[in-house]
Parts: sequence; C-alpha cells; structure tokens
Amino acid sequence: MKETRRIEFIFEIVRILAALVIAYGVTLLCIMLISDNPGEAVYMFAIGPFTSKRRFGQLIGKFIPYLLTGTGMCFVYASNRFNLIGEGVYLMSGCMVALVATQFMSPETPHMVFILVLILVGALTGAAFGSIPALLREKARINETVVSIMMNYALLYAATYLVKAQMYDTSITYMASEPLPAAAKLTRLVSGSQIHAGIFIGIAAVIVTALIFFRTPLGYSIRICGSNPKFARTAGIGMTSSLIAAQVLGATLSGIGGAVDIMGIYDRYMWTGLTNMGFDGLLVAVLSKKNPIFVPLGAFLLAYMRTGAAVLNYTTEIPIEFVDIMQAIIILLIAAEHFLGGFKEKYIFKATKSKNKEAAKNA
Amino acid sequence: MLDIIVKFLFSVIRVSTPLIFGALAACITKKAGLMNLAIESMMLASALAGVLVSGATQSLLLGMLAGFAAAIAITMIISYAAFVMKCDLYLTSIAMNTALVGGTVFVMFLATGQKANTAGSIASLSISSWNIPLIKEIPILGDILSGHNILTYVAFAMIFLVWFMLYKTKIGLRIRSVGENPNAAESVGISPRRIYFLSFGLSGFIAALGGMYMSMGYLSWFARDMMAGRGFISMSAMNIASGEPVSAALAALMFGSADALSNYMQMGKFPSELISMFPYVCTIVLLVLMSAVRTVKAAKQKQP
Repeated sequence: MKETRRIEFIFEIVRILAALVIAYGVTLLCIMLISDNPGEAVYMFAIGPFTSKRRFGQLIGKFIPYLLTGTGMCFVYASNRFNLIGEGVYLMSGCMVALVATQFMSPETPHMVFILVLILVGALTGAAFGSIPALLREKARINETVVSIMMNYALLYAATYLVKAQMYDTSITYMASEPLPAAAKLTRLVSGSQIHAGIFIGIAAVIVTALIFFRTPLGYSIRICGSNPKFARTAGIGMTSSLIAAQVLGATLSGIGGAVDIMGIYDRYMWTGLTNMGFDGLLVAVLSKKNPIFVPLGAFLLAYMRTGAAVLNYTTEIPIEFVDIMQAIIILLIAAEHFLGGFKEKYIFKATKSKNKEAAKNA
Repeated sequence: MLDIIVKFLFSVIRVSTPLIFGALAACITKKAGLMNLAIESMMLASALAGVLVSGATQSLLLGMLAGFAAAIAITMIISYAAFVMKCDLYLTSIAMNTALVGGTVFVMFLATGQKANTAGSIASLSISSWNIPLIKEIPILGDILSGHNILTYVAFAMIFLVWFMLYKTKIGLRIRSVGENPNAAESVGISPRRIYFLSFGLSGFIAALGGMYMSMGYLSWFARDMMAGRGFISMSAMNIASGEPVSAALAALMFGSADALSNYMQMGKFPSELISMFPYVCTIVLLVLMSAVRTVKAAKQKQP
C-alpha cells in the first residue's frame, strides 16, 4: 500500500512537471515561429521578468494577490464545488475598499487602523457575497457555478454603478474613483517597485490556510467532503456546514486579495472589466494540487508567466494574450486524470505484482 | 411613440438572436445531463473563423463552413479532455473560455499584424438580411418582423428543429435517456460517451450560428471579447427553462429585451448598469423561486 502511494506521489510530480514543460515548450515554439527576432523574444519572455527591479517588482505585485486568491480557491476546489464567486468578489471588495476609504473615513486616520479597517471591509465583502452561492447550493440545491458566474457579472455592473454614483472623479478623463488617501496605502517595501507590505498578509493567509487544512477538524472534513462525499456522509460528517464554510472562507480570502491589491498597487479603483483574478486563483489552486503549502510555488509560477508575457508585450510586437492559451494547456494537462495515467497504473501493477511474488516466496 | 415601440421590438429580436442560438445549444447538452459552460468560447471561435475565412476567400459559404468547423473543433477538444482524459468538465470549459478570449486576439494579431482591440481591420462578408414578401406589407407587424438578418429567421426555425430533434427522433430519445440515467442507458447498449460527444458537437454547431451572427450579421467585423458574456446569459436562459428549447428561447427573448432596453436607457438618466444587471439578477431570483416551488411540491407529494 505504501509503495502504491509513493508511486502515485512521484507520478503526480512528474505529471505537473511534464504539463509545465509541454506548455512552456509549446509557448516558446510559438514565440519563435511568429517573432521576427526569436532570440530576443524568448529571452524577454523567459528572463525578462528578472532583468530589472521594476519588472521583478511587477512579478511580486502579481504574486501577492495570487497568494490570496490561490489559497481561497484551494478551499473551494478542495471541497469539489465549482464556485467561481472569487472573481466577482475580488472586484467588488476592491470597489468597497475604495468607497470606504474615500467616502467614509477621514484621511487623518492612523495608518495601521486604516489598513486593518479596509482589510476587514474586503473580507466582509467577500464573505457576504460569497455566502450567497454557497447557501443556495447547499440549502436549495441550485448549481453554484451558474449562480456564481451570474453574480460575477452582476457585481461587475454594480461596482461600475457605485463608482459612477458615489465616487466618480471628474478631474480625470477615464472612469475611476477618487484617489485613495495616503494613509490607506500599503507601504512599499522596495522603492521604485511594486513590492508592498501586502506580501505579509499573503504569507499569513497561506500559513493559516495550511493550518486549517491539515490541523483542524474543519479542514479534514472539507477535504473528505470534496474527495469522497459518500464516505463523508457515511462517517457522519456535517457536510452542509463544512461545504458552506469552505466556499465562504474561499470568497473571504478572495475579498482580502482584492482589498490588498487596491491598497498595494493602485492609486484609485479603476477596474471596468472582470479582472480574471478569480480564474487565475483557480489556476493556482490547480497548479498546487489543492494543497495550500504549494500555493506560493503555483502563484509564483503564474506571476512569472504573466509578467514574462507583459514584458514581451511591451518590448516586442507579440500580444500578451498568448499566455492565456498556455494557461489552458497547463490546466487541461494537470487536471486530466488520464494524462500519463496509463504509466502510473502499469507501475503500480508491477510493484504490487513483485510484492505478491515475494509474499508467496516467504510463505 | 408607436414608431419608438416598433423600433424597440425590432431591436429586441435583433439582439436576442445570438441568445436564442446559445440557449438552444445549451439545451442539447443539458438534456444529455451536462452543463455547457463553453458556449462563449464556441461562439468566439466561430465568429473569428467566419470573419477570417470569408474575408480571405471572399466566399460566404467557405466562411460559414470554417465557422462551424472552428466551433465543432472546440467542442471536440472539450469532449476529449473531459470524457476520455477524465478532466473535470467545468474546469475544461472555463480553461477553454479563457484560452479563447486570449487566443482569438492572438490569431487576429497573426492575421493582421495589429494588436487589434478595436477591429474592422479585416473586411468580412456579411450574411444579408431578408424582407419577407407578404408580411412586409402588414403595417406594424411587418416593420417588426421583416427585414432581419437571415440567421435570425434560422434561429426561430431552430427552436422548432431542436425541439423536434429532442422529442421526436431516435437521437433525441437517446440523448434524453443518457441525461436521465447514463447507467441505465448503457445497460441497453447506448454508449454515454458517444452521446456526450454527439450532444457537444450539435451544441457547437448551433452555437457557431450564434457566433457568426455576431460577427457577420449583427456587426461585420471581429472585436476582442465580442461575446461579452452572451454565452453565459444564454446558458442561464437555458437554466431557467431547465433545458426545454421553447421556454429557453422565450427566456432568451426576455433577456434580449433587457439588453435592448439598456441600449435605449443609455441615452436617458436611468443608470444603464442597473439594467445590464437585470438578466443576471433575474436568473438567480428565478432559480431560487423554482427551487422553492420544487420543495413545496415535494413536500406535498410526501404528505398523502
């Protein structure tokens, strides 16, 4: 049995690596084929993010919200519910943070208090909107994917309306809120880059999530309900409450992500379309195989890919969007149970067979 | 006033057309027991392929064939990943949607050399509109019903065709039986996997019509992310109707009127965002109501 588990673990890693190598290879090949100057393009994509403080800062600036949405999506994905509310909540909590910061709080509020209040606003926004699809799913059996996707669009329009009605800044030409007061901004850790204090919040979220996952009854029941609902029901685990908790916690983390992103990088709220951060969080959760401990790795990888594409976008003529295709290939290969599954079964079969032979000999 | 109402109703039909196609596409997979989240990407793929090929070859027929081929190729990738490689269907569809939003922009770049966000750079052929001979002469009704794009009439015919296919043919019976209970269907010799592939393929075919209507009828160019959630709205129209083609089409018309209304309201003082929210909020409310009705019914059945 131990042998089987060891083989499964090794194959899991091999599969993820193989998926990444294939996706990366396909991407590099595409870049080489379409670029006039393939050497430079590949260099910009692969090494570009590390070549200057500003670019590396950009990478970390993306990495921080990915930590939060990634851990959030870990909760949701581990409970085997396709609740995509993280997307809309991310945007809405950014909007609510901007609203509270510009309209309801005095700019003289002490920095720490201001930050804590705003993070709380983000978390509450996340929990409030996140509980709608979760409750509807667990209490009324309404498909959570449909409800959450509908809510994402509704939240997008609601946020746009809030900006227009409550905090529209008429002194600028594009649609955005009034600027956030200085006290509401997270400290930049490295000047001239986007590395900000939100990274501590992100790391804390990873640690707390890992503790909940592996050291509390709630985490255990969430994982069991997700991977084997029939067993969970037979074992008498309170499925409804753990599944609701998983989805609400996931949305809360996404909400904090949106708040941190607005406070860390932006001067004002200016999202006019879906940010795609919720889906990216799902990708991070897929990359880290629902394990919060691996979320930093997945988040870094995705941030690296996205930054590489952005660098490529403004240094060469290649558009940033090709990275979306790469993302899809990775998701498909990693999440496909049967990708390299034949090999795995063969190895497990062989191992068990030789073990049985030994057992027969000894007997 | 009458003039405005006639114009409004005309535009309701115009903007509802892609939603009807999308809703019908979703109905077919729903009846096979699967939720189709990838209508958005099927529509995008066919919209782009239609524009590119018809622009390059100057042949409408080839353009439309390419549109169908593109959408069906997407469905086949999804089906292969989900039913052969056992990747989660929802995850696959979502990955496909993200890939196609970016992928179409990327293909546009390859074809035109521009990082085209606002397009119009490829001259596409468009499908012409049609004045219905007799109905055109009727005073008000003629102004509303006549003069639409040919695909609009195809959409309304498609409602009947899909209903007929699902309820009156052998294929439809098989699709529905797999949707009811795949194991039971398998025990009488129907391969659920084959039915899944088939229903996704058919759904891609219908979604392709919707996509091509957008890029070759409603507009005559391709623009980045031009579906703008229409795939999801049509999916929710199907959801409200729990997969019945006729009521799904009616729901699509309802959402279409909300869309048309928000176009009109943009000129007025009422915030258009709130009207744009309508289809989404309405879906959720209706789903809750339907679930409540279901619970009440179930409770009543238990009592006697």
